[in-house]
Amino acid sequence: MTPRLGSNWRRYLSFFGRRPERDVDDELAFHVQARVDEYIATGMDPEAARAATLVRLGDLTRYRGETLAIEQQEQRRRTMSNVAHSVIGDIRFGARQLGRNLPLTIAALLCFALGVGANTSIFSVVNAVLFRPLPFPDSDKLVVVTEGVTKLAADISSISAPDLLDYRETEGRAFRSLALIRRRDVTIAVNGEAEVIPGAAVTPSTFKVLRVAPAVGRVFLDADTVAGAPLVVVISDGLWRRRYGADRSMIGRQITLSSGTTAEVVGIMPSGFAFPMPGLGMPVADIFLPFRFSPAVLAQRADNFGALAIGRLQNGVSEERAESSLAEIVRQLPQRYPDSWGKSQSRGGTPLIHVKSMRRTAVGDSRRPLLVLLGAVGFVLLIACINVASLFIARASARKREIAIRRVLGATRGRLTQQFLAEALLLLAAGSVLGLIAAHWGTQALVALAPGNFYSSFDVSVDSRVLAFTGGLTVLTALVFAMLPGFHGRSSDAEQSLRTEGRSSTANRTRQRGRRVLIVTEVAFALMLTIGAGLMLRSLARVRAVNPGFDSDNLVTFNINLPATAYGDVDRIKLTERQIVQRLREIPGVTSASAASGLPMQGDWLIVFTPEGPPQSQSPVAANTLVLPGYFEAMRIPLRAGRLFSERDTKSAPSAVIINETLAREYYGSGNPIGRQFKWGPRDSPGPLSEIIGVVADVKQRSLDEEPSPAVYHAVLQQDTGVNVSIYRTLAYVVRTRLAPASVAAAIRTAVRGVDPKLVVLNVRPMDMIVGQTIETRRFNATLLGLFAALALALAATGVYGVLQYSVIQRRREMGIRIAIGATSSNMIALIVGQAVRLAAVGVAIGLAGAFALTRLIRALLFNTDPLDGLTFVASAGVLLVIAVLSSYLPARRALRIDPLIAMRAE
Amino acid sequence: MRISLLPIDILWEEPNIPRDTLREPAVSTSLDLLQGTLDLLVLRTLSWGPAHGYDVARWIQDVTGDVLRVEEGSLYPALHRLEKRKLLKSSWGLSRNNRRAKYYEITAKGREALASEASAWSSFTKAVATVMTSAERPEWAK
Repeated sequence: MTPRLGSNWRRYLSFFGRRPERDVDDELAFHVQARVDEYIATGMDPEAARAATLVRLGDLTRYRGETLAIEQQEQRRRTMSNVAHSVIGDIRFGARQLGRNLPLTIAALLCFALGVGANTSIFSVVNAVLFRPLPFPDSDKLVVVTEGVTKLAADISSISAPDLLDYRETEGRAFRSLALIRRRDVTIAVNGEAEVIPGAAVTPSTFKVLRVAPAVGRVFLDADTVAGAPLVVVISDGLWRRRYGADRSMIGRQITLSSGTTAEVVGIMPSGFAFPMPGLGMPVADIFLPFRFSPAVLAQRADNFGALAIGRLQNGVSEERAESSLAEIVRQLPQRYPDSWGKSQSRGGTPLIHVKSMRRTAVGDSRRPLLVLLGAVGFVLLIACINVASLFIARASARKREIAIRRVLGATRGRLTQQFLAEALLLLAAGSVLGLIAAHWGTQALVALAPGNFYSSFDVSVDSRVLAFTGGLTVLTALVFAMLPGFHGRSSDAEQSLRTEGRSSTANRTRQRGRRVLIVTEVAFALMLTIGAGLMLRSLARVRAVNPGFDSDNLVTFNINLPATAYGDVDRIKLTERQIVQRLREIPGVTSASAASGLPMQGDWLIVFTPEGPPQSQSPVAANTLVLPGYFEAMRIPLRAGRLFSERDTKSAPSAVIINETLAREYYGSGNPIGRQFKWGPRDSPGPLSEIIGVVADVKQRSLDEEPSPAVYHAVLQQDTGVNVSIYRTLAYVVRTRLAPASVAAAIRTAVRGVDPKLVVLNVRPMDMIVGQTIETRRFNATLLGLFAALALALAATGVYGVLQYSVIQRRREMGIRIAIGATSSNMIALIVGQAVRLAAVGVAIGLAGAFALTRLIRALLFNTDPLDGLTFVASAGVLLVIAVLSSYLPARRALRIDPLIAMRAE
Repeated sequence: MRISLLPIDILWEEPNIPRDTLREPAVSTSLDLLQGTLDLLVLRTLSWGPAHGYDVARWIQDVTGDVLRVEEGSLYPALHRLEKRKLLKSSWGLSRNNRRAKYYEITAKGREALASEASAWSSFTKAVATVMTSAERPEWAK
């Protein structure tokens, strides 16, 4: 046993390499030693024993290689657990590294949390509105049925209620069931405080179509719709909680409607049930009443197209097939009902029918703005990521010595990347958690602030798709982050980096270039966003500047409903309404007052009319308003020709109408329309001919951003009985005051009570607010986009600042030399600011090109604004350049403060 | 993974052994051992109880009277390969003279393999022996 030999062998074996092979080498060394020992024991001399042993063993190099190959294969299988192990180490190391530079870590965290939060919020809404099914079971079978009349110069998005009874013949074949919904707001008076509750009259089948059961109690039965049945209502969870304190004993309780009738609450819908929805043309209802096919309703066949028809398709039935089976019935309607559909067909042409998915109908026009917002918020995240990446690169440069040493010591690029990845993932995971928390609030805020409760009728919540989206974002960003610093530690650089570290008088050019590319990208994206937001805000400003056709300042509006129980007589209605107007005018500070069947921007009432002259190919349609005398004066709608209604335009006077300029131009040509004939109704209807007494200016009927359309005004005082009674029983009043609108509300109530103490004043609102609401969606989208653009600008400013600041630090030796050889302050500032402006200019050029290509996508969202609006482009570019100059100010000051002596000694 | 230990394994190209080591012809004056055969010998040896590589080599040498003259180095790839296939397991221990040595032990799976391969081996040798000892001439040589 000679230790010398053993150690020799070990030395020989260690020639092959180091650690992983040690076990195999030990094993072989043991064998060699044992054999040598044995030969020596038989009397051989050690040299001969060693030689014999080697012969005996054979080609040791080869056998060792084979053994190792087998072992290494084993090794590879163990790699997975090793990786897991090293990842834990990396995470610990990463956490230490992140903790060491807390301001940087927090900045990165905030950037990312902001980006992820905003993205997840918008995506939650996009997901709910565009991707997720409507919140009803099996909702892809839900459809909306709409009728049309070929020759009508307007679209109908609903049906004439009685037709539903005919369509229900398809139940069991194309449709599982069909239902009808009609808007019916209800005024509930509790303790003298009246409140208008958005409501809907629905057929009992509605709940079957939607497949939603009440949370408590029952929904409607067919028995509830029979004439004379006691009135029952179903209320929403929201109303139950808000108004009745979530009292379980509400079921069976009678509630009093302001009209004096009482209704029994029979059911409460579950929370989250939101129906109808704004996209279907009706607000979400808080109270449901049974819809009754009363004789009055049945009398309006082929007329009064104001009912929403929905249906649930039979399994396996397509929308097209459902439509064709309804079309069969529609074709028979003129024969079945010659008095209504028969006549309608002869003058209006063939009736049409459409079946469209409820989801598509509900989403409507909201698709594009949502996608634009999603794109915008994606840009913000991108800019945030670039910022964070740039921070990381700055740090990687600061750590380049560490990286270089580790590379020289044998760390592979993969290993280093893995480490950076762990660090980035740690940061981003924390950022994502923060972002998700932010997104929770953000989503709630979006839903709450969105105009008209639009999003609340969709199922907006964080689901697996949203989580996957956020997770995907995180991983993607982490990968990018890990790659960027990894590239900076390329092996070829490593040695050089170690060598030059001590003496770098100017910044490393390649590294600088990398960061500059990031900043240029950032500026470009920020500019695109700014231009997009600029265009939207410019559109908003233009819409707000639109003249609605009347003066909405200091104009207060409210509604009064004269209950049918107390006001059955037509003349009494008219008298009371005139008395109310008279009292209103007597209020101190009130300059004028009047009333109309409906006010602009609050929904319109379209009628078919017949102008003087030859028959038209299409039945003309106009928005109709019944007005009391003084209406145009109070609204300050300018008179263009003729005269306005006066107190003398009553039933005893010849029937008179006032038309707007658009109607005059489109249907009465260039000649003076005053004194010419006008008929409310189709050509062959029995209605009286009226004389046009005046032409007034166009008024925006539905919203500020619409095109002018024909409108006609009739005098309330000339109306007779019939269906119109219910319309002028519920007038909207307008009061123009010299005082603040809010201050006259009490005086208005007193004045109305002076006429009849039982009357309830509803919806007292300044007209400004009503006008504003019509552009609420536009304002909302523009504000959000503006917010994102502001965020992008702030991030871009930080990015430019960061790069310059870093470059000043990196080049402080160079700066020191410059100052030492006599560079002036202005030289130095020009140097730094010039760098910023050059970077920004390149970014601006790219951003302008990008905006040029992209703004076409938002053309549909703009109002009177060219997607290539020069002013917006120039101003946005200017803003970015100014920001670049401003954000270079601090770094420039820092450069000026450099003490040449210290700077040159610094490294 | 191939389980068969039949001598036909000579055709088996172990994918993890570097190609040049395979191509190199085994230069040996003694009887060339088929790879699978060595595995069988190792398993059989270890079926008597745990042993280190040197013990295995010695045992084969002693029992056969050194007829096979196995190159002792070739034992180690075989041992490691069998261990990888979980027919053996190993542990580091002390040899009789207190040196660190790697001990191999046959596993239950190893015993199963030994049993099935041993019978395959004997039918193989019997078949070969039949050919070798047959006195009957083939048809074409008559």
